[in-house]
Amino acid sequence: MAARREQDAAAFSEFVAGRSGALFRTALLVVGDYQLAQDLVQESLARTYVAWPRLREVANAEAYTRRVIVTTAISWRRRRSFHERPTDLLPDPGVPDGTSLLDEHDALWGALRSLPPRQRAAVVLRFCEDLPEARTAELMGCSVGSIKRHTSLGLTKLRTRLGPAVDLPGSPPPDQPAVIA
Amino acid sequence: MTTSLRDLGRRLDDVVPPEVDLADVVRRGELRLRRRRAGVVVGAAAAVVLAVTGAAVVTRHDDHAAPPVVELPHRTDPNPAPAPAPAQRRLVYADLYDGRPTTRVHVGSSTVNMPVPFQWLDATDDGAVVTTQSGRIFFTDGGSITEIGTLGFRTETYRSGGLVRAGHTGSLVTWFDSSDPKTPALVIYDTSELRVVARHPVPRCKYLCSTQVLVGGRVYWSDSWIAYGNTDLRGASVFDLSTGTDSPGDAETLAADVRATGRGVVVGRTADSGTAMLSTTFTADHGRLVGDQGRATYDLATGEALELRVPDDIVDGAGFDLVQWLDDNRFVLRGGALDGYVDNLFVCDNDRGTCRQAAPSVRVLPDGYGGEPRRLVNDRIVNM
Repeated sequence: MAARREQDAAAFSEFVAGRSGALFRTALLVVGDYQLAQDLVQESLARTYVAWPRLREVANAEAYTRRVIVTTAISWRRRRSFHERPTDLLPDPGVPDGTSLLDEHDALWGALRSLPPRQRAAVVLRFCEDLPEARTAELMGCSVGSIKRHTSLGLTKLRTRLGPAVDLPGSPPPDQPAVIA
Repeated sequence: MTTSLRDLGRRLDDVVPPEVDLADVVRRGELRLRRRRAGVVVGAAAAVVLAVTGAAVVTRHDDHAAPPVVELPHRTDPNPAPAPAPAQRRLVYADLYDGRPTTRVHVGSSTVNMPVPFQWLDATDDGAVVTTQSGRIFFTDGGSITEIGTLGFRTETYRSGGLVRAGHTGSLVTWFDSSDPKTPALVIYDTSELRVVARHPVPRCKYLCSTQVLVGGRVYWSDSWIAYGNTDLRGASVFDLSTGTDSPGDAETLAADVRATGRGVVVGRTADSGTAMLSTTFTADHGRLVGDQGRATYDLATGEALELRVPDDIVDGAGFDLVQWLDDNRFVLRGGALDGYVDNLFVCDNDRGTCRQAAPSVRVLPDGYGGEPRRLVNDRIVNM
């Protein structure tokens, strides 16, 4: 029994070391905030730790953790007034986080962050992570029809906000006018 | 500048991920495991009590018979499915026969027998919260059962409920605890963490204050007992969990709070200008749902007009109340009969544009007939 626990602990540590970077990338895409993504990964890995004995394989664990990241991100966005506490003083920013590599004025990044949580998750999983609709639906815990709907609504909002300068899936070529049915 | 979503994803590859605090992950995980084990022990004890009770009346098979022993998924399933997505709720309801409190609550596909009969019920993302006549409050996730608090007084005289309120999304539930008459307090409990997250003393609230609405970590409450069971925001206060302070609240602040959650309906001329609400009413018209008083109703999450079909056997003019949200796309309607005396539950799916019956029909006799059967869905119907 003790040997099994030690094996599990070692396998879990190895999983965290090997896959946390990729999981963080997904978290950052779906929440759009470095610190929040860090918290999200910690929380999701804690849930994976609980489920570890029945996940057994790294592939299962990664899929499970990614699903928890996506669904928890949607839930957190909805409950942000509970988690975010207003303060008069801004904390010391310390060292810049990794998102400084993204231009803070990047219109696409800003527009993505403004989407409702499910639309944002559907768009980033489909087009930033290149996942097929079925896999995206699995991660978000909904139907493929829902994914199509959220993706369509999200892209429409991005097009409205960003205009033709940004190349989005389904956009007409810049030199051709959009056809209105 | 031409960019694309795929390029954005590639640029994130260059972002240096933070170090994972493995010790913190393990600590959080172990904490969850301990809470789960504690819940299983309480649930198993309740099941044993019910098994002993049920043995005495095992030959009866009607709805008044002692309920069967509940299997506890955490204990009996050798390879349980992953936990449901946090953003999705299960349908929660109970049926009261002959007006008597029941022990049986439905949480999704699970049926749980509570250790004590209850008469009020509400839902969180994690399961069902029930309140007994003696004012005890229990939570079940569909498997284990945990006693989470008390009102501090008996509830028989409160016919219309509204003593305990859960949010339409998330895991928070709130009530006034008057067990110590000197220091009555507004309590906020998290059914995901299984702990009280706030206890806000309100000395003037001895037996008299009522919670009105819980939305996004903000509790609308009133110091009038008359408001029990209905929503009356006149003179309401709002306790904000994030700041720990009270402020005045009204229909306008509530609408803004609902809008901030991203889940609800908007009633009005447009999705942007209308009033965001947790609940509304509908009427059947030629197999489709029409909004309250013919007003347009929009899905708050998408801004699109709601267009939903009901089953063919629903007659024109039948009324419905929106009583639960299961996720951003799906909600539960109660009603579906002209006279209002047949209680049906329908789950509506915005993506599919359909509403389907989700539980057996119950015949509900009007007040005055005595001993009426009654279905509990939850106590949170917000009239604004």
